Parts: sequence; structure tokens; C-alpha cells
Amino acid sequence: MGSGKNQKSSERPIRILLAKPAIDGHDRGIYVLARAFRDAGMEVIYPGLLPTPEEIINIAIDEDVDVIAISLLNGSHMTIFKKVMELLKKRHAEGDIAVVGGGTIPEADRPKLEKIGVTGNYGPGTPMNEIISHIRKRAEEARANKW
Amino acid sequence: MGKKAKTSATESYWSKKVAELSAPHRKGNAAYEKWHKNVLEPWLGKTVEGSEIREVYTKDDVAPQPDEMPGVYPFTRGIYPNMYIGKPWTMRMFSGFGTPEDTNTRLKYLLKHGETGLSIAFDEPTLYGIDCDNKRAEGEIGKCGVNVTSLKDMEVLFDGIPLDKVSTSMTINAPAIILFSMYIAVAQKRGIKPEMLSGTLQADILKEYIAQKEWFYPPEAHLRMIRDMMLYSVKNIPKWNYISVSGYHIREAGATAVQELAFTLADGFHYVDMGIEAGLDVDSFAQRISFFFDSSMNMFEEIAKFRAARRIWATVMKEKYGAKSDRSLKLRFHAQTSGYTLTWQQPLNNIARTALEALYTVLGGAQSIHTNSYDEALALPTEDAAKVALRTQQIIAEESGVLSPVDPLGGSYYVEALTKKMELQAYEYFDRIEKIGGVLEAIKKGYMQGEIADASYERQMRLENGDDVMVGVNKYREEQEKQINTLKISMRAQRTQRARIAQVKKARNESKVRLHLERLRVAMASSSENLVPYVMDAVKAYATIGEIVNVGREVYGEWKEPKII
Amino acid sequence: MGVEASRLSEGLKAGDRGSIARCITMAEDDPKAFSKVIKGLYDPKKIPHVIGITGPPGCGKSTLISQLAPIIAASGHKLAIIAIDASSPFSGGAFLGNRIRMEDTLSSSSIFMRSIATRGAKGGLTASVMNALITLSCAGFDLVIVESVGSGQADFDILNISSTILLVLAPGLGDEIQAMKAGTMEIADIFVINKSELPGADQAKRSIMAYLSSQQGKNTKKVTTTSCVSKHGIKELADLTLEHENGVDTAAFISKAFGTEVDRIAKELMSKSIDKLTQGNAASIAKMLDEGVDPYSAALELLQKLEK
Repeated sequence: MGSGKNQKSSERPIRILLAKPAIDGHDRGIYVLARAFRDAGMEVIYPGLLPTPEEIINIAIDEDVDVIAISLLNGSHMTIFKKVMELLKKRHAEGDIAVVGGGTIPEADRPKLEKIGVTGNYGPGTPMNEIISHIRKRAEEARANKW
Repeated sequence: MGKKAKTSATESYWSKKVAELSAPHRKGNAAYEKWHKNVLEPWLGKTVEGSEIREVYTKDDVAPQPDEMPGVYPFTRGIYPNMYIGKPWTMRMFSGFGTPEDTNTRLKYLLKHGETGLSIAFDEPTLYGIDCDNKRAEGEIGKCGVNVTSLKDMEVLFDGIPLDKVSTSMTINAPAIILFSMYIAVAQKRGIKPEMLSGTLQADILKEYIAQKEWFYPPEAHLRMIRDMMLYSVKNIPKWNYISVSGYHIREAGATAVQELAFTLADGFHYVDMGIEAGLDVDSFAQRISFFFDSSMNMFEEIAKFRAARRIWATVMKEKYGAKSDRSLKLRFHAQTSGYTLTWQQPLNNIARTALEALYTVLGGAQSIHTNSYDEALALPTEDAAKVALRTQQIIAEESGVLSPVDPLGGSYYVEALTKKMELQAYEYFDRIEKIGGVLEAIKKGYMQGEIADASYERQMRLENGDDVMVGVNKYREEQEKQINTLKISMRAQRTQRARIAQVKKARNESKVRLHLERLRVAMASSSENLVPYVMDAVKAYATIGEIVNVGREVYGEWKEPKII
Repeated sequence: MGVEASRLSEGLKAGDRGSIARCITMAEDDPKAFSKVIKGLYDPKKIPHVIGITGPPGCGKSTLISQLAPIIAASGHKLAIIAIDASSPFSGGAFLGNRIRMEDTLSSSSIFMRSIATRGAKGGLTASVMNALITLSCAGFDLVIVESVGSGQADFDILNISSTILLVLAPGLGDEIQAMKAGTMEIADIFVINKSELPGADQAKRSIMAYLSSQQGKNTKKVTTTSCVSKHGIKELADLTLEHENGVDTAAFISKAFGTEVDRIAKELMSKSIDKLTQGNAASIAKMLDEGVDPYSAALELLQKLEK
């Protein structure tokens, strides 16, 4: 892992996959986030509507992203976010790819999600710079792990 | 709007209206300017140059126009002469979660507490044509609405509800033709003839491509099904609104009030074109096109929007489409208070928001209203929260006094000026859309979608820098939020639904199902068949929604949206 | 690092997608480590051919590729797709949305796809694509479709390393065809009139053919029509493309492109070494400057310490 730490890999833009792993076409938030992340200098990969957790992991790995940002508004975050983490683990990529969550997530569920490795879990109304600095932090960690 | 054969008269209709409405009706505003210089500036102790804020409106701001009266063309002040005097709007609460039994209970609860019309919310698998026993539906069954996979679910959903006495609105779009057929089939099973049914089917696929993104096939295929439902309803179910042309979803996706107004009416005119192309006389089908608008927090913008919508619809239907019957000229709409404006921070504040937004719809002349519950930024509403929302409407109806007289804000300098302004801005959009090639072409090019994405981003930026305020979110925040109880939907709904569909599949006649699906496939591939009877045969044989939708996938393929960013 | 390199090496050889993806990034982040990974696998004769697909926006390039790629893959090629999107000149970020049209195609096949941003490329885009090409060659891919942005320097960079160039147009773009940079029209091998279900397709085809016959020299270029709605003409396009591919020898321009790569990589590695040097000696540099040494002498003093 040695030479990686001295590389200025932080010069390279953060690659982030933005997805809503639900049967849900409401994409207002996704487009606002996509634009905000792009304007913050990130390369945003968006796979379109209705991706399954399997598709999300496949894309994250093929695109070698630093961060997966998943959002759900339908209340199924405990099952679906868990599924995403399980698939990531199966591909031996957890730790290499950070997972950040968002959406309609009650306060009580946040610690449970953090425990399985999904951090952030921001609700609507969170200031964009808070979300972005959290993502930057996690991306740095993921990159340090990769190399 | 988008018709292939254009005469030079229709080609310039929108530009003509824009020119007509843009013409200045007076030189300057003497009363305002005099007041500004002699009263306001001394009061403020300074001169104010070039301000964007108009502190007050005067009669000079209102273009002279023929007197407008309720119940008279162009219906700006209301579609009926007496509006709510004597009878308030329909109180129609959007409801649905879990199993059909769960929702049936909620419907009866709300009817008991005074709602006067039903409105059904379906879950995501149902909306997307995915059966409950499909692996993809895992974890989503009953979470955002009621799950319906086969006719059996509809039978349970409406158990004990007199379909000949109460009207039902169904919020369903891509698979609308299936739920429509199921509703009729349930009624028929009870001996209720289609002509006794009243209600509304949302079915508006154009707004799906624009905003809500629930579709299966390319636009032409879905539009064909809407045409078929239109023809079937016009012939067999006179009290049925076969489409609810929607602005709510467009607004919630981030559009401005003007964009909501313009894109919705543009869609509406496209459906009129469709009916005419199908060979119908405009007065035979236009009266059953209904509308669905949002009601957001900015009071006068919303009220002006509703009034402008009525005036525009009536004018265009008369001048451009030559409709003669008043019923074709009257825009009837359902309104819902805005979900986007609700906050999960300090949720009780939402009661105030919903009350205000509901008031605007009443001052704006809505025919039917849904009020959101205060907990809906967190989850689907609890019984108690839904009751408060219903009571909000009842309080407005019984205690506020705004039901009489009709259109009390009519004549207000500001409201009239704003109504006129939004009317003009809408025509400008119609003109632009026509220049792009019409509604369908604009959708395929991502035009409306792009406008909406831009508007929603700009709104977010204004919130971020404090130019726009959401109380409790970026101002008057609280460190510790009190937790409230919310509705939890367990996996029990999934288990129940999956057990039920297994039972249905065991009991039904498989070869009959296959036969009807095959006949449907052939009918779908031909452009002249009306698909409703074919779908109805399939649902009566207990084919599932997914099975029926998949036949369409084979015939029409799937549609992917164009690039927006 | 040794363990990591050999794991990735094995992965590449086996065509493991995670390894391929990681290596593409590694080629950019850590060329030294990357060179270790590809030792033994790299073979300049096995660099995949590039099918460059370009054209103005709105012609349906992405949808066309999503239908064309499976046919090409099915004819015995190990195929990858690289999609390029422009980076924002203001923020440096990018919206890489080309996968929207591809997911169905990709999930039902072994086609590998990577999204790359132009990153204000000054030849830097070619570098990213080269990193991907070399990685893919070590994993046995022999053909790569590169969908480029459709105009500008980035476009030309891609076309320069393409062995077959498809120019995708659509009816109703008459003016745009005139306005298109003369360069692109000249180097395209196959002209594709997409959206042929729309009126004006035949006219568009005829005007391209007229243009071609007015050019000097022997004309080997082809013109064809396709419709993604009816799927008409896609198989024919695949055949034309592969036919052209068979006739191309890329040795010469690969060699030239690689020469440029060596220069670029060397400069990059050198620059990184110097960064390391400057950072590691920050204190002594500050001391020298304090003591009155001028910056030029300080720099030369520093370079003495440069390790090989």
C-alpha cells in the first residue's frame, strides 16, 4: 500500500455513483444532488431509473467509484441499504468503496445504518455543503484503502 | 399543439395570443408613481430606484376587460354560478397502504369522518406493473400505497363500499387501463352497471414522461391506451373522468407555478388533439377531461394560477377547437396541498402549511381537495394525522366564511394583474413548445424535464443561501427534534399479498388466462382495436397486472428517458 | 504491493471486472504500480482496435450503440465500451450519464463499460482512454467502442486513435451537416443516418453520397441508414463496421500514440517525484530562503537530491 499514500490521488476528481435503488421514478432530489456534486468538482455516474441493488454494485465496481450515494424515500432503507452492503461485501469491495445514504430516514435508524457501514443518512433540507464535505471525507478514506 | 396538419391560422394561434396579451393597455402607472414619490419615499426617508418589489397594486395595473362572472365564459371566477354556496367541494383524501384490507379499513374510517369521495393510492410495485410475488417487489409491497396484483385485491379493497353511490379517484398511470378494467369488473360482479359509476382515473402519461417517470412503453403506446379508455368511457360511463391531466407532479418535481400551469394545459390540449384525431367531435369528449393541480405556499400565485387555468382552457377550447358546449369549456380540477413544502423538522408546523394551502384552493375554486397530513414528510399518514387533515377542510368549509360569495378575490388589483400575467406567460410557453415541434417532440427532446431540473436546482440554491426560507429547516431550527409516532408498514403486507396471489394462481383457469393474454397481444399489435375489452377479459380471468404489462413489453418495448443534464 | 499487484494481474488475466476497473484507475493514479501489474501480460500487438463513434448531439448515438454493441459482441469479439462526457470547465466535475441507455444491454452480456470525463484534456483524455485500452488488452478485449462527445478537441483526440470511425447523423439536421467541422467529415469511414424512421432520411443519405462523390480520390467510405425504433439497419451497420475493421492495420498509429504516451507518463512521474521532493524538504527549503539563498539556487540544490 506504500506508494499509494504519497500519490496525489486527491487531485483526481471524486468518482461517485448516485442511485435510487427503489421502484420509484421521483428523481427531483437525484438531479439536484447530481448537479451539486458536479459543481463541487465530482464525476457523477448516474445509471438512470429503477436500478436494482445488483446493478448498482456492478456499476460501482466497473466504474471503480470512490463513493456510492444511495437515496430512498419509500421507507425500505433498512432492507435495501443492507442488501447493497451485503453485495459489496460479496465482491470484496467494502472499505474500497464508501457508501453514503440519504432520504426519508428516521433518526432512530441512523445508528443501525452506520453500524452496517452506511454513513451520512441525510434527510431533506440538509445543507449541500454538509453532504459534500462528508462525501469528500469518505472518498479520501476509500482511496487510502484502495492503495 | 403538435398536430401534423397545420393551417396557417392554428400555426400562429399561440403567437397571436401572446401578442394580444402583451399589448400594453396603458402608458405607465400614474397613481402608483405619484404615491411612490409623495408618500412612500418620504415615509422610508430615502429614494428607492428600480426596485423589483411592487409595494401596492392599483386599478391601472388591471387591463380593462369585459366583466367576468362565475358560471359564464371564460369562467375565470368559477365554473358554476353559485360555486360552494349550498355545496362545498368534494373532500377526497388520497389513501392507501399495506394490504387491500388495511386500505379498506382506512377508506371506511375516512368516510365515517366526513370525506365525500374516495381516492386510492397504490404502492410502487403496482404503479410499475410488478407483481407482489416478483423478486423485484421485495421490501416495497404496501409501503407507499395499497398493493393490487389481481382482481381479487380490488374486490377486497372495495368490500362493503357502495360503488354506485360514492365516486372513486384512482391515482394510476402506466397500468391505468388495467386498474380501470378491474374497477368496472368489480362493479359488474355486484350488479352495478358501468353507467352508474362515477369517478376519475389519473392516466395522464404525458406528465409521467415529464415529471413522475412511471412508464413502461414508448409514448405512442401509452397514448393509444388513453385513447381507448377515452372512447370506451365516452360511450359507456358518462360520469367517468377518464383522465386527470396533472400539474401536481410537475410542480413537485421542481417546476415553477407558471411551468405547472403551462405544461399541464399543454398536455391537456394534446389529449384534445388526440380525441379529435380519433374521430370524435370535441363536445362529445372534452367535458370529461379533468385536471389536478398543486397548491403550494405562495398564496396569490396559487390563486391566480387556478383562475388563469380556467380562463385559458375556456378560451382555447372555444377559439382554437371550436367547442360549443359550456361543459367542454369548464375546467374542473382536483387540488392537493404540496408535499414538497412539508418538513420533517417540527412536523406539527405542517398543519399550518396545509391549512393555508387548502385555503388557497378554496379561494381558487377547486372542485375536489386533498389535504396532506402533518407527518407525511416522514411516512404515510397515521389515522389521527389523516383525520386532522380532513378536519382542516371541514373547518375551512364550516368556520371560515370564505365559501360565500363566489370568487371573493375577484376584482382585487393584485389578483387580477397576476392572473393576467400568468396567462400571458403560459401562452409564451405554448408558443415555445409548438416551435419545438409540439408536446411529444418536446418531451422526447427533454425540454420540460430540463426546465424543471433547472427550476428545482435554482430553488435549492436559494434555500442554501437563505434567499428562500423554510421555517424549521434553514431558519428557526431546533437542535433536538421531538420524535413523533409514525405509521409503520410491516412485512406482514408482503406475506399476505404473496399468499393471496399464490391462492389466486392456484384457483384460476391457466389456459383461459393464456388465451386472453394472447388475444390481448394480437389486439395490442393492431392499432385499430380498442384494448379495454381485451384487458377486461384478462383481469376477469385473474391474470395479474405484471402478466398483462409484460404482454405490452413484448409488443411495444420499453422507453428510456432522454438526457436531461 | 507485491501481493496486490499479482492479485490484480491474475484478475486481469481471468477477465475479472473488478480487477479491470481497478487497473484502469491505477494506470492513472500510480503508473509505477500499474507497470508491475501488466508485466507479462502486456503485448503491443494485442492492443484493442478502437471504433470511434461521433456525431452531433440529438442523433441517438447512445441508443444506437446499445443496439449495435451486442451484435458485434455476438460475432466473436470481446467488446468494451468507453463513453466520454465533457467535464465542466468551471468546476472540473462531470455528469456521466451514458449508462442510462446501456444498462439493459450490459446486464445481459459480457460487455464491459467505463465512463470517462474529458477533464479539460490537453491530450489528457487520450491518456485516460489509453490507460483503459492497455488494461483491457491485458484482459483479452480485442475491440473497444468509444463514444465521444461529438465536437471539439476531445473528439479529435479520440478519432486519432480510432481504426474505424462512424459518424452518426439524423434527418432534419441539414444545417448542422454544413456547419460540422470539415475535419470530421473527412476522416469518417462510415456515415450513419440514424432515426431513419423520420422523414428526410433518404434525402440526408443522398446528400452525403453527393458530398462523397464530389471529393477527390477513390471513395471507400460507406453510407448507411439505421432506425433504433424498428431496429432496421443495425445488423448491416455491424457488418460494415467489422468489414472495415478487418482491413485496418493499427500498428503505425498505435506506435505513434504510444510514443506520445511514454513522454506524457515520464513527465507525470517526474512531476510526482518532484512534488515528493519539495514536500519532504519543505523545512530545509524554508531554511535556505531564510538564509538568503535565491530561489533558483535553492531549486538546483534540491535537484541534486533527486533519487533515481
